[in-house]
Amino acid sequence: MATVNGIVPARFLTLIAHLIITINLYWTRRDNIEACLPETYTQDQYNQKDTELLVGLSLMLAFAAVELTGFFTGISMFLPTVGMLSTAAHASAAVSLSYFVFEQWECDLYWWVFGFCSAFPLVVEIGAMIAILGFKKT
Amino acid sequence: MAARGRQTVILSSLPLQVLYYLNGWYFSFFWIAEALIFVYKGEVLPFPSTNLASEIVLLFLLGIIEVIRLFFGSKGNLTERIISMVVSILLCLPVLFTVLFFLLWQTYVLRAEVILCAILLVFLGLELILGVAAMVSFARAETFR
Repeated sequence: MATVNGIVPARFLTLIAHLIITINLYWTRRDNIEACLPETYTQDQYNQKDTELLVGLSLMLAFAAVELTGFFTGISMFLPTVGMLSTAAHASAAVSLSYFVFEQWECDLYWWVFGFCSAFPLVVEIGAMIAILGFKKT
Repeated sequence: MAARGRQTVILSSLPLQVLYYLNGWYFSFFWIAEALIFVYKGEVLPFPSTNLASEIVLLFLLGIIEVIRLFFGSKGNLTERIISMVVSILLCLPVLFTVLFFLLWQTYVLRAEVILCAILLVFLGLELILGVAAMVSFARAETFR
């Protein structure tokens, strides 16, 4: 029980850290969009990149919400493997997204972070949900 | 000492207990983050002379009150005691206003603080609702005892 005890708050706090930095990106995304546009750009180009990033951020929030539901309802709270994968993914997401903000990374790099640190734990989480709710495995 | 033919029903609310447990972890994270933010703000931003000191004192008070609230809440929920739940629910009020102060009325509000305080307010609201519900169910069971 001791090992499980440690992973539960760790997973929760990394998820929250990821959530906080994602919401923060809504305010600061302008610099990142300008970083991936050419020296002189039109408003249309900016708007296109802005929409792309906005969709990515909203998807990330939705994925985090799904994971938090799975966590709070207790479906995946005490699964050590899921907890480990999720903790690792969200911790690296929080670190790389804070670099994304501070170093003004190009906005295309966002999709790598999105794929590995947000979509991947969601797939694991949904797999756990299907295994537990669908096939009654524990 | 249960009498024959009598059943004991557990009235403690599991979601409430989960919330208290995670709120404890979140609050320690919040408190450390907020203390570091105050170090940052004190270094970088020009403060009117007394504001910084009073805000830091308020942060310490918030820490004390929140720990007491969480302690009474989780113990009251586990032991199904109405008095502890009442204390915990009444302490929601000072916590609510202190968090609102950090969210709205302090000298400088950073973006990170807005998010941190908003998450804490979500916790507070959910605990208030579930706490009142748990207290009502304890009180109802008390009348039949």
